[in-house]
Amino acid sequence: MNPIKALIFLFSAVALAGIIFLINFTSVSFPQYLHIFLLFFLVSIFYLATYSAIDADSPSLVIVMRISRAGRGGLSYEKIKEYLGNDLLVHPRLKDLVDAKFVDLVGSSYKINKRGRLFILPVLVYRNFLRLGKGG
Amino acid sequence: MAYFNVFIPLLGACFNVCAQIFYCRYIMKGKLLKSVYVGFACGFMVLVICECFAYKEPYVEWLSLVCANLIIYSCFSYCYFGFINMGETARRIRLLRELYDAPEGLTEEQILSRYNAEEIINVRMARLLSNNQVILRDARYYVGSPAMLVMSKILVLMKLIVLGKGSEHDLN
Repeated sequence: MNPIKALIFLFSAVALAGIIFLINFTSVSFPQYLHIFLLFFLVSIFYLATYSAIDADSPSLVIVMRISRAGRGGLSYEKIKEYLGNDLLVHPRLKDLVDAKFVDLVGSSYKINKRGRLFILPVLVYRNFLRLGKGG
Repeated sequence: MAYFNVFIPLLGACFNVCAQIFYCRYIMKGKLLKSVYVGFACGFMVLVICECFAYKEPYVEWLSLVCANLIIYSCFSYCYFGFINMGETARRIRLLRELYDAPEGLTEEQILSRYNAEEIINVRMARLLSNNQVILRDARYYVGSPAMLVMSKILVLMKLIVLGKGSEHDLN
């Protein structure tokens, strides 16, 4: 199972157990229910966001770690490029997009599908409104 | 008043987003990170002011509600920063953007001609150098500010704890 889906399932199960507990064993008012739900929901989203961040290697952090390991001699640009090629930086992310069903691999061609378009739309709208570049 | 306590962190979050967007678009155009700090500070001030208005006895109960609202607001701010950061640095998002702009599809060669490892490294090196996290001396790079290195080590530790490996490319 996809780890993110597993986490969503887990948090939903805990939320359901919490609601059952609160209804049966406490005398909590409706605004307090809302408050508890909001707290649980935001902390869950916080964990999901952090998990996604640690799942994939960040190129910036990898670069800094490699430079640090090089010690007093430092590291040249060519050595950094040698270690971080397309096989490490691009291919795994393309595979992630196909696995997550945002992109279809049709023959040798990658094509974004409806799910992928829906997913990217908020980012596009936000960045276009702020007149920011493509990023990456 | 009970409902107001629920809305306080949401109000702070709204001010956070509006201030951040306004600052980035109209005041310091394109200064994304600064706008994130400004947004967070504005939302936080609104939260503090609202909490002062919502004060009621007993003090301990009010304080516990303040703590809960601070956690809610902080989690929201972190997630919002994650959304902004996703659009700014995430490779998957950039790849999706390239594919979004080419509805007929792209081959791997076409994708790599638009976005590849060299561009990824160049963008990150420029960012690391401008923030003094990495310094360039005699055509060689050295670690500058230790904050980034500390963050890297913490992240590797978290990967070891949660994923059982220090890198996604570790086979063990």
